[in-house]
Amino acid sequence: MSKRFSRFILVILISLTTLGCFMFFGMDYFPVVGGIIATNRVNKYVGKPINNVRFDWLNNKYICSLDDGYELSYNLHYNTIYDKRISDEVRDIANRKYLSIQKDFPTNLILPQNIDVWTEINANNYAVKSQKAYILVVYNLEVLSKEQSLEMPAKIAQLFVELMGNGYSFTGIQLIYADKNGMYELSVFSNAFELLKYEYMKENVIKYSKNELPLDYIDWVKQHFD
Amino acid sequence: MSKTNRFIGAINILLALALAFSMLAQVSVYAYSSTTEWKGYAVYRDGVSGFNSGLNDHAALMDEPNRTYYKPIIHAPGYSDPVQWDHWDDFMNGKKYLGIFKPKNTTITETVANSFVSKARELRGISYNVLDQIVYSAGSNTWVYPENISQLRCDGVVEYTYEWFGYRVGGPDNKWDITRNLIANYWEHSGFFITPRKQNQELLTKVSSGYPD
Repeated sequence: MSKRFSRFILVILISLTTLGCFMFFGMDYFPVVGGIIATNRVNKYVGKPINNVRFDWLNNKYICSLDDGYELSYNLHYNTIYDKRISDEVRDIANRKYLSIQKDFPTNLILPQNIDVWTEINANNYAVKSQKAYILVVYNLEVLSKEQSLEMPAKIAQLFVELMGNGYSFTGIQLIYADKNGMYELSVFSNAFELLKYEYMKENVIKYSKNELPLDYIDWVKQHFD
Repeated sequence: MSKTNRFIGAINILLALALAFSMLAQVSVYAYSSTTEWKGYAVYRDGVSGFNSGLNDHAALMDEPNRTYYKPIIHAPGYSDPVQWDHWDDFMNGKKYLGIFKPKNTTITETVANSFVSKARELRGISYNVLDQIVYSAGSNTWVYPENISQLRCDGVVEYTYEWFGYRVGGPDNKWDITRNLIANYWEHSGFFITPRKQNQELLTKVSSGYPD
């Protein structure tokens, strides 16, 4: 084996090991190439060259600041762009819609005053969205069995998605639900573009243990059920 | 109607007006106290690249009564920026929300909330550091003042602010106070002895799972 070929193999092995380490630690960072891809995606999106694209190690994404102070971020793993201006606008529209659909939920549910919606867009096709909804916290005054309680977060989430209509592409959700039996959390967080499905949401509900219960829930139970 | 009756009538009207004004004042006092609702509380979310070291969560302090305010939080956002006021979105970053927390056995009154916020604001401009909660050089001082601190991690902002006022967050007895300029106390707040995850899961009291609205 020639010396040159051995060096080539060594470089390949070191590169693969480095990438393996980043992947093992769940980083969406790809040395050099990741920065180039992110810069190209951002430039194309903004329509002009942006020089300050850098990796945010804490939040695992590429970020840059625009001239007007707004921040854009790019997720290499999912190839998504987060544009704060668009996300904020969508959140406001979604909240107006949410206010209009509150009457369609069962009356025994106490819904949060407003919701949060986080919107990312596909860097290859800006019309394709990936949206996360935050519905914190839904209280239920109805007395249910423990099995029924466990099913409620996914049922409420499904109803929410249906009532919000086709204009939204919910791919992630955090919904916290509370009733007499306890506090439950439905959490589906993925930046992929697959829309939420009832069965998948149902599988991702956990019940808070006793020491995870917040003080306001303990007070609420005392107030309504003691 | 006699002159005396008219006089008594006028007095009664004045007394009624005074009562009405005092009730209004009472209402405004309550309205004012509600404006401090979540000020000084700690909020957490997950989704930080922490190599499963316990750094996987992110901490911030509420600088305003609720999240609808412009830049309602103070936090150490990471290497890109120093400790600063920030938007709620920049805190959340599309990650999972973990709730509102406070020091154990503590009632956050308006005075306490304002003290926390005032101290946290003094930390603005301090650089980020991932390896330790705090990095400082305080010479022979008894206490570590904000001007002695060169670096803070996000959980360090919460820890320093609460412990400055004597509200213990983490660390063993006699060494828990991060603001005390002693090697033992410094050591207990270095590395990953205390992390944002440990703070919200073990060291603080969870007040609410909801947003600070």
